[in-house]
Amino acid sequence: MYNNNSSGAIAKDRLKYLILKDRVSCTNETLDMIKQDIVKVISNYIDIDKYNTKLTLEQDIKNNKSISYINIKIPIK
Amino acid sequence: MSEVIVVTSGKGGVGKTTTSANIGTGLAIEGKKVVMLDADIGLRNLDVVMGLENRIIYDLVHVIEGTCRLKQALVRDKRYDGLYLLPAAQTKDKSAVTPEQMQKLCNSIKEEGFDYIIIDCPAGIEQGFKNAIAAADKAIVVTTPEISAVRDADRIIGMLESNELLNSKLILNRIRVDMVSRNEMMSLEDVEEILAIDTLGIIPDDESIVISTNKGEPAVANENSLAGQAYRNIVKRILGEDIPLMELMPPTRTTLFDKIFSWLHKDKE
Repeated sequence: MYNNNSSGAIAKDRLKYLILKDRVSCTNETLDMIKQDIVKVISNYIDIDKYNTKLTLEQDIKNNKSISYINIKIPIK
Repeated sequence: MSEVIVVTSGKGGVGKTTTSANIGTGLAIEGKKVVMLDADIGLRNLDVVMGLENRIIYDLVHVIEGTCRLKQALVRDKRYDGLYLLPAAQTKDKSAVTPEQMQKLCNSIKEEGFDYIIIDCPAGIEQGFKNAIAAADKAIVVTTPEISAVRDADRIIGMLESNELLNSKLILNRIRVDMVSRNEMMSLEDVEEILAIDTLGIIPDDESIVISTNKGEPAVANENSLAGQAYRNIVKRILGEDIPLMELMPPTRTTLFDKIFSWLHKDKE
């Protein structure tokens, strides 16, 4: 019945991400700086694809408690 | 024992003033002695929504500055026993008052034996907001099912908590059931999941609100208004009654399938 492309679902997803960023008071700029730093450290050890590295804030519900975490995907060359 | 309830939202235009007017009036209809306090200094509107704009002589700033006594500034609503409005100043700005002065003002209203003080908070998170929440015992957060309004409500809930106003209650305003049923609008469940506070009430998007504001007569007093019914329920919940949330039904629509079905059916007859 629920179409994930419906605007209600889009609104909820956008809102969740927005509020997550508000709550940890993290700007896009800060997230980018974190990403750059992590890339720098890891590339000291492993040859990685820094241009396709993706860092996002995410949220999961576990035992009725929402847990926010940083998710980073670093492709290895 | 009197209780001070602040009606707040963060974002403007989501229905704080309408909610304040309806809750205040509804409590008075239930026999309570109520002051509706307009804390939106410089942009007062509660008087207009209540239809009391021509009866204002003194305002909140006059009382705080000692230009007049509290009783002189309170506008009595002749339609409802026990209902009074303390208007905001229109010519001053938010910096005319401090949170301490607001607390003192609310204390002197309490001493007059009122059951409830309903504070209509201005939009924003600055001085006006800080003044409005300074004296509050409880907070009601009004939002609409829109991204920007819910986001601001989340900010406000955080700020209320850091000011020791815990357990704020949510009013979700202007719900369009038809849109929610098509999943083109966030539902109460969606908003509750994100804000994680208890719901005090839901208000359908209802043209009777516009009409009642046009007339300066709160919808809560109108037996035929759906939004009025929603506010009457909210008032009862404030008074401690256990009233289930209003069942909002989408307008009965005939789908294409129904039409074809009835058409085929008709053919057979």
